[in-house]
Amino acid sequence: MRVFMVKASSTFRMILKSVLTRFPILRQVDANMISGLSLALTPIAYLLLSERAILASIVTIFLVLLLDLLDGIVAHAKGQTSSKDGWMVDVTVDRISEAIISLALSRVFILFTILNMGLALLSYHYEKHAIIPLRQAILLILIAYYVLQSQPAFSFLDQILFYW
Amino acid sequence: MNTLGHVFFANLMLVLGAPSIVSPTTLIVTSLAAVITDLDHILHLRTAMKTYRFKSETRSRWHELPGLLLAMIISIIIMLFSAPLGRSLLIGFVSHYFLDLLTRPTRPFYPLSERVIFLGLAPKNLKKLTAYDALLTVIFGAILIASLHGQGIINI
Repeated sequence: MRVFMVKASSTFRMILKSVLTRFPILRQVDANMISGLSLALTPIAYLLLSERAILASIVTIFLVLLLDLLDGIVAHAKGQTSSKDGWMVDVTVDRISEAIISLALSRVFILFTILNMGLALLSYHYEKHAIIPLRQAILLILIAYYVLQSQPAFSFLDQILFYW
Repeated sequence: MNTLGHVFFANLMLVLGAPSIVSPTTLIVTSLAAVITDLDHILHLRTAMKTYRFKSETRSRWHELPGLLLAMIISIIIMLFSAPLGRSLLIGFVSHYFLDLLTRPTRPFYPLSERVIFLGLAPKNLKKLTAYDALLTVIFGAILIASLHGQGIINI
């Protein structure tokens, strides 16, 4: 397991290095601003989900997550990874973003958002990061929902996503 | 964001995102939920009159993540009795925190931490910020009126 973690970490660093070499402009962009852009995109995901435009909402949530990843890469490039401010921005943006997306979904997701918000506050208090990757889970469920449209499991996913 | 901007944006989220529950009651509930969070500013009105702005120090715990957590719990409890009412409350509360985080310096983990964060998507200069807020308010208001008109809720 430890060998795997070390390998994964070095691969991540290599990818990071190549991204930064290709796009040196990333070193000049503010990581918080990228987080802000990611947050600003979430109402679009909410509106698309409300309209049941599943494919478009998958793309938008993917973009939101991509920008979230990008802000981490920029923070790495600037050596801000250990900063508590960066963690705080990241966690806060993620929680509000989840809350906005869950507005279009069933109560199950609102409950998970509440749970995650509590976990975020506890994570700060106990200095241990323990948060459910809710948007990633929503993205996976939406992909399954889109792919399984003519399958029996579809109505079950429909219930989970929009009615429970 | 100013009060009117909060009201317009919250109702816009309600009208465009949950058109099936739009009614005069839910519009009023969403508006109230969108502005009630700002009540903690009243204690700092005198200072704000001098500085022309409410600084991040004027935001109580109910204006940050702990407050949103409580607001969401209250909304989901109300949702058990009246789904439209609970959902409109939730939209009002969440939209407020969303706009504040995007346009203002906040202390999200207060009272656990007093660290201020700012996403840098709004100007810091007071004059520019006022103009930015006014522009956003007009845009939200225009889209809201058009949406309400489009859904036949109001006639222009």
